[in-house]
Amino acid sequence: MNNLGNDVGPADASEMDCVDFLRRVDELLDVDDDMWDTRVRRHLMDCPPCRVFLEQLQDLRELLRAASTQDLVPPDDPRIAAIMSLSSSKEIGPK
Amino acid sequence: MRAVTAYRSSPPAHVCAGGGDATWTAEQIAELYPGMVRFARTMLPASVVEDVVQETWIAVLKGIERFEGRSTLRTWIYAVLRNKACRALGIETRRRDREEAELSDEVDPLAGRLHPAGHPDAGHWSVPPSTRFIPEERAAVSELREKVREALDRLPERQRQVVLLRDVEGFSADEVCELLDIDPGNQRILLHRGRGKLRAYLECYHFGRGCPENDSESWL
Repeated sequence: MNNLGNDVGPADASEMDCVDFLRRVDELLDVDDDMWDTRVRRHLMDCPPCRVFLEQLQDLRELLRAASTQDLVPPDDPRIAAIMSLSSSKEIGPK
Repeated sequence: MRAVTAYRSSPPAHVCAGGGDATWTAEQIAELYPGMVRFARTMLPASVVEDVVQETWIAVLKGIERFEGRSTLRTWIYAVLRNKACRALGIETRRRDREEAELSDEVDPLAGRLHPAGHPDAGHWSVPPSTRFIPEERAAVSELREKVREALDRLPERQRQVVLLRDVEGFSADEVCELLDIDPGNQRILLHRGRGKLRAYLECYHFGRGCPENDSESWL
């Protein structure tokens, strides 16, 4: 069992439709796919559009994450130097 | 690189609660700085963002003894930044009523893409997504990356903040709730709607599929 629902076996798993899948898709992105329950796996196997939808969200997240590597600030940036300088002054530094 | 003696001797990620002697290097501050600027941009006019981030750092270095270790240090620093930003804007941090009103007044980009109740294929796609965004050869990725950045900046403020903190900065759902003072249900809705709009925007831009009916409109 996991936080995405009961890990039901193939015999008793009720069918998931696309609406159910789309309601849960954000949760699925938060965990590794080995945590997905049987209903989710089966739906993805049977429904290429939902698989594409999930892949699009995974791609979107990859594109968003790339943003964090594009704005790097070097340690010798003047803004960092200003903080270093201010924080080492007597008024601001540790007591 | 010169180090600022601040509070504890370990790197920021390992600073312990309650103060002490620490050393923050310029590298450590530089590592956190860009994410703080991105978060500040979701709350403040561009003209004051850098000033508020600088003020935040001064406050963090001055008041690290107030860090109690109930969250990660990065979450605590972002919370200091949020408070500084709110103060700079002169607004209250609690805005739940207004946010709930905003949440109930949204257009779903997937509206009309699934068969409605009563249809023989109810609950399944009528206009399915065609293919993933990032192609195998990845040639168009840099253009897409730029588009996503622009689109993120155009989301409604709270959706933008949640998507930024979750998907760009990598905070957990609990941390985002704490930082934005929202409950888990709201966090889920804001994330779902924000991601949904960005996905729909990219799908329309990249494949010309699922675009708003009116050409002058956008999902953002």
